Amino acid sequence: MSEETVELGPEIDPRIFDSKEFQKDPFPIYKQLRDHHPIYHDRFHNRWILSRYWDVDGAFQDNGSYDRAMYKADGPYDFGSRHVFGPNILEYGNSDEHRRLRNIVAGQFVGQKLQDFIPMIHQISEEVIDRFIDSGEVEIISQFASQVPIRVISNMLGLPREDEDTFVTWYQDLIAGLGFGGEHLMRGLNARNEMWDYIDPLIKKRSVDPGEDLLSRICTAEIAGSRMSSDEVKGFVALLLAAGGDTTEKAIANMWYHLMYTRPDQMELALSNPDIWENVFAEMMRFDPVVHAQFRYTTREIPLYNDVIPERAGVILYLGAGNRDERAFKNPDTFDILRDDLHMGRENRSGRYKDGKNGHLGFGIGQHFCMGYAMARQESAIACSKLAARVKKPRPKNMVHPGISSPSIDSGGFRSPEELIMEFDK
Amino acid sequence: MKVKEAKDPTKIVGKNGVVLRKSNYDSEGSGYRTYEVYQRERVGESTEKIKPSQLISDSFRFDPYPSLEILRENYPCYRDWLSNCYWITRYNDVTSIFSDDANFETRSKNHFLRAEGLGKDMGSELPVLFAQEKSFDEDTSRITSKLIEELLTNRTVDLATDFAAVLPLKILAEQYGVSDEESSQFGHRYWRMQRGTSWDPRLQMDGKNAAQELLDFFAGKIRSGEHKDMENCLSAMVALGAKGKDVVATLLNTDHETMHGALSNLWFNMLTSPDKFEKARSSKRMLKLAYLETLRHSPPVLSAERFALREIERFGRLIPEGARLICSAGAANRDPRIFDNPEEFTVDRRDMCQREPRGQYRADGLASGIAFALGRPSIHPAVPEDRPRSMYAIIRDASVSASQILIESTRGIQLEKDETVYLSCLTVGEMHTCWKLPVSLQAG
Repeated sequence: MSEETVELGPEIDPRIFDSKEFQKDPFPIYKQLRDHHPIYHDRFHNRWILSRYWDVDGAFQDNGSYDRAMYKADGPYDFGSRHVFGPNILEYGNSDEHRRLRNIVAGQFVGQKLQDFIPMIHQISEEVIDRFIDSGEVEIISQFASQVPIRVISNMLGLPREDEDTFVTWYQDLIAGLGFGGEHLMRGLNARNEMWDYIDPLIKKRSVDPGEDLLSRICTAEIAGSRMSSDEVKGFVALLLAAGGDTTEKAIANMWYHLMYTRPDQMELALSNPDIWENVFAEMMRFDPVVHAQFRYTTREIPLYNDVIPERAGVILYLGAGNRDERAFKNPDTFDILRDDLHMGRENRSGRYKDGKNGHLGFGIGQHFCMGYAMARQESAIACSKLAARVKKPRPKNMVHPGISSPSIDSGGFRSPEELIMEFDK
Repeated sequence: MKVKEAKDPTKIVGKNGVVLRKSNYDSEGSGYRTYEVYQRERVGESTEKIKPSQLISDSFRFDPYPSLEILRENYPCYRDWLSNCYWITRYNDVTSIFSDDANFETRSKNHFLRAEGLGKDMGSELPVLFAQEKSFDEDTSRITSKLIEELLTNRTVDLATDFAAVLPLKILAEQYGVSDEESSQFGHRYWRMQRGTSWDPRLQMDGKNAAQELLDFFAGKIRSGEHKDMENCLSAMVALGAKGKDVVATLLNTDHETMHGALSNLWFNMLTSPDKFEKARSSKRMLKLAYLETLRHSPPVLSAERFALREIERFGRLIPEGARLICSAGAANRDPRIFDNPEEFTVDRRDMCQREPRGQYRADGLASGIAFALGRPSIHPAVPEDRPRSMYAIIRDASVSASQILIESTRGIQLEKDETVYLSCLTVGEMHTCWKLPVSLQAG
């Protein structure tokens, strides 16, 4: 991490972080943070902020100094009782318990196990497209982006297909429950409890009579003779639905938004080359990723830029800001699917690539690197390339669009446009 | 024939009809539980009755009490994710945190101002404390009389800005050997430095500059040896080896907000309720009670921060190490478990401690109004001969004396007609007081 002297710029009023203006366009504030306050003490929200690429990268890599968990993972407490997902690995910080749970499930989303799911992703994408392809118009979010991931997940888990609409409601409520507002938490907890009641008998059944589906694999997967408990399986399914469903939904929507409105000149390239959608995905994850911030708690005093973050302080890692750092990328505010300074291929948890290029920070890095990274990338790229292949002369219905925004500060959620209507020739 | 009153099981009444306690300790936690944990985290607890954004809103800045009541009555240990803190709002809970140095720490104003080059806070050194007590006791009357004399030359006076805000700064200037000519600039710098402890980075930057200006000012004063002919806080500190930076650190940690805010709020409460004013001005004792009731009913310092030294279970929650706790006097002082009709400003309230609490926030079995800036209650069971009175008592006596002088020197103090007066914080988290209180004054 850098120890350079920073020229202080205009002060930032921390209330800006709660404003609609920031939710919609945080990038000018990110730049101000990076350039003049690379370590920013936000006393209003009782937290510190890191925003430069290599500082965020460094914090992600440094488990000894930055802990993900608010509580001590080895404390004598029942974890997850208050978490909207129930007991899940997000609550276990950097502990051995986190490693155990992660090792049980992480292998299910990469390599051959992921390849086994690919034909199903193709098939589901086609089925969803069939529903609107004859109409000459699609509202991408509700008719496409929100339909594909949840069907993929429920299919992977081996859940009944007729209940897929219910799963969408659940995951939307679960994600909203991560926000600050109490009423959203209540919705999230209700969704969680309903989902648990629904899935409980399935877990019992598949633990003793496993099939080929992911739920059976998770119920029976063992690492060093250890299986997940029933509550842990339920917590994981909630996490999978919410984190795997909503994030991919928003990723697909954002990819189309950028080609329709940010770089329409690159749309033709994406339509003619199915492989380029992996680039669209990587550049979207850099330019304006679905998740912009990750929270950490310091485990010791951290000296940085002539300041010190105290022990057990809350730190926001603005990966959305790091991704736009001029120190890491040329012309960072330009969306370019042909950019030559971004690693466009598959991500990894080290964040270091053989091509020598920097990767985006959208999946995080290090111990808590997104488990579903490969799944999200494959699913998004396949779904988008399928849609691109089926529509003729796609174009935005409305020439002016209000743009991408984060949800209000009271509810949890990810960045995306609210509505995205595309017209195409029949 | 005298009918014996039925015993109210919810009250414990002492001699002379004084309500000692609202009820026996019960399962709902109305008793005094310092270290007791009364329930485990509740699964599925929701907080839909409040949004965290309400606690930083403009309406909260003007009238925080409705939101605080929601917290106190529904979520007594509220996890505020937006401001990353826990709100503690019941009287017994707040006082239990204050009494628990082993698990919760206070951070000095140096920590919040983050100014470089500040020295040691010498405010707890005995010679400094004695000098402070002497000044408050001996200088207050003279400075107040002189100030009122000046005010009487105007037909209309703003008691909030011309009296309540100015008096503590004038006394402070006296204690630090600041001349009349220098006092205006000194007061301005002092005020800017204090506001620099706010969360607002612009105020913080300005506060740091003000601290530097004060540092240069006092370093020059000490170098020139002016203090040698004085007998005040400054000379007491220099005799102990203080440098300019130590003087400024001590000044930073000196409280003026309670005297300023309490005086302003006292006069606000009295002038907006003429019958209460009549009662309060009837004797100095009543005026003292009105002052104490002001600190309970409308405390200028609404809350104090504490930080958890370790992961600890309190009030049914697991509080992580390093967590910030907002201990709310505004909410606790209006806790109906402790005070009858807590929303009412009652001059001679009988269920509140009428003297300085010692060793705890209660004396005579009664709770006191929590006023943070005055510090925690004295740890001494009685006033020892070799120690000055606590700041709690000194500031109270000075404020009451000053108000008494104002009453005696004037007649017919009345709010200017058609003026709307109210309490507010300048920004969220700052002092909650009356900033405009125009009155007509006539010499008595």
